[in-house]
Amino acid sequence: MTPAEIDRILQEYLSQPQPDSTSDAGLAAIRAAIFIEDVFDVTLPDELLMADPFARLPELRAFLLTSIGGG
Amino acid sequence: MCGICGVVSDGAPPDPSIVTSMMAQLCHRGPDGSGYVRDHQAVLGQTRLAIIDTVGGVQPLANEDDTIWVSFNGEIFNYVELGAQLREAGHRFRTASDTEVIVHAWEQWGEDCFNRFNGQWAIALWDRKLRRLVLSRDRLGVRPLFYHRTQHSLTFASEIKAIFVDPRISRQFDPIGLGQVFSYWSAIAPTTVFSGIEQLPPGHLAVYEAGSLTVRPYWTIDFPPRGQEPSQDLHENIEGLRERLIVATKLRFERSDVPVGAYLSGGLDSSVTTAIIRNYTDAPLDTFSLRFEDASFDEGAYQSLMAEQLGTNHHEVVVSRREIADVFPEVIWHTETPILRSAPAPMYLLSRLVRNFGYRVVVTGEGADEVMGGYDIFREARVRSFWARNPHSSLRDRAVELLYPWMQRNPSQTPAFARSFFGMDLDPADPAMSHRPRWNTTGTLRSMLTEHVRARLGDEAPAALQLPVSSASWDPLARAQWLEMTTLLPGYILASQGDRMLMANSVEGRFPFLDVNVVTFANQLPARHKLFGVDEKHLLKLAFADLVPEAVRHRPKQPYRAPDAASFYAGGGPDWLAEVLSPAEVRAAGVFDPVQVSGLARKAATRSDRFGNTDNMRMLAVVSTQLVHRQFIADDPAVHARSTAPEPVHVFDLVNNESEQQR
Repeated sequence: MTPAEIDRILQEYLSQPQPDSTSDAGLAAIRAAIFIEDVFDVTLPDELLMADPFARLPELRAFLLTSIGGG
Repeated sequence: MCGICGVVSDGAPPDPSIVTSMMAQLCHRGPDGSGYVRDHQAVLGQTRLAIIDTVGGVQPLANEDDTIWVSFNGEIFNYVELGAQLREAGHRFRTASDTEVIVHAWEQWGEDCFNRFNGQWAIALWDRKLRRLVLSRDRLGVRPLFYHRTQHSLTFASEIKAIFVDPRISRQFDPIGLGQVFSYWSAIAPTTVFSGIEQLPPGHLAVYEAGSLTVRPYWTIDFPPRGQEPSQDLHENIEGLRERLIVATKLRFERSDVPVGAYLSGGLDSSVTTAIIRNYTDAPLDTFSLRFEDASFDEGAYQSLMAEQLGTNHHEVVVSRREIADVFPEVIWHTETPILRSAPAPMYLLSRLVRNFGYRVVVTGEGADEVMGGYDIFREARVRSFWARNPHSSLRDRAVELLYPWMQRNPSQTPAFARSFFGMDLDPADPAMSHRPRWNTTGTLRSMLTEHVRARLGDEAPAALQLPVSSASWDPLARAQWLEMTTLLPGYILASQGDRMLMANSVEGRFPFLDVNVVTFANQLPARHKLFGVDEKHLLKLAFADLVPEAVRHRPKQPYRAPDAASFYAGGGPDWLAEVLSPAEVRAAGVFDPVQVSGLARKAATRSDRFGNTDNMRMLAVVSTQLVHRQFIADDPAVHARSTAPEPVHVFDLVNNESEQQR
């Protein structure tokens, strides 16, 4: 998967409205993590699960590039 | 929609009176007339629900020189386009029916014709020159087709009760078929719950020739390798789905010579198909809904919202517990198999409402959950996989709250519940991991079986179905979809809860989500577009956001359920209940342990209102199994049949070279 493909999928997630049930920040983080782990077949470290991983996008992106060998 | 039946023999010529008795058993599937064709080796029968070319489409029907005959149940929705191609190729048509397309398509394309059909069918073709019978069933199993073999003959029919009119065919339970019901919710084709009775698997054809039967697939459910889906673009896929579903829905609404209505459940799927009809066709629309006296099962508010928004002529039936119990024996007469929920009974009452309003055809939203990724079992599997990646993480427990929002209000219960839920049958390497909890929960029914039946089944846990070799490269969601499309969909959703409950009242169901172009397209989608994280049917919601209000698109998913065991004890309960649960009848059936059944019945009599899922399932399994035994094995099912086939009866006697219409 190329960096551009990774970015496109991350943007796809961000473009979608989040359901009301994720007004709970902790749960929103879990929701996002389920999406990321499923799509990219990775296991996020707990520190990326403690808050919305998309709130730390550069860190998340770097993790994905390293984990799945983007490029 | 119709009933088909017949006998082919390479020994003594088949007896036409057997086939007319079979036609009488299939009267409910085709009350508008019937017919059979006979020659020295075969008799093909048919009962007709006239929908396309209501006058000219009499069956059985032949090609130009009467060498190929067809008996057909279903619809070929693209018959107009195929007919044009066949006329171009020189075939001469005598009718405007979709049935006639089948014989010419067979002549033109042979077995490949089935891959060209877009529809729902069970077909019997008799090639008189080759002395060959060909049976075919639609790709996903909308229409049923059963058969019985002897050394020198094959008997087939849309329903098993028609096969049982032949007194030479024995009627007894097949423990293997029962075991499948008590694991997968239905017998898996070719097995049925009756010994010696087989069903043609969906997407297959069977060729019977010179006493030999060959069964093979003409189509299989397939998915691309994960990550190699043709389009990764969300907007392109939204447009692709919308375009195909609109075409599929219009095709099913407009290709009929009688008015077509629509089911409106209050959920997303039927709201989409109904909204398409209202926005893309001009005809007035009658919609039909099922409501419950039990508020916890009722979806009336959402149904009214959609009916009002779309301006349909809306009708509803409100079902009580007692009505479910009252019709239950008749429901089992039509399902011809034990069932683990009462949900088919209200569907029977709904199709009766449709018929009472004079309708013979309805469009429904069935199939969307399987095709677009809507079932809770898919979401649960994804959440369990999330937890399995790091079971020691203290943060992942909370994922269960996304499935069960009530957990958010009871945070203290979450960790214990989550560990129990996530840890159940958790093996990420298991290709059937998604379904293992359901199968194992259902499999607990086996503890109630008699020793004799248990011995036949063996003690092992239910085996996984054999997924295709290529499934190793599929997304886990695709594997779960495959399992759902090959077990629950054909065996229960489309059969016990679908075709059988509709046809019991002579109503044909049409299912846009099962259109071959919709299914093929959906199977090629990236899994995330169907199940977006834990948001089910995500693409469907996006594709029809302009036609279906937010309140319906994003309402909490409510699986279709009906009151189960409690139905049998409402208002004193029906008279037949104590009889079928009596130790004598339970012993006669030989399936369940009479002592355990008596214990369950005592418990139900006082506490059925508080029954959980397992006890409800046990009660339904026992009661329905006992009714199957009573109606199909202990009693001769022929006594329930009408004495005559639906009139007028068209007879094509090729032995005496005569044809006539009997009234």
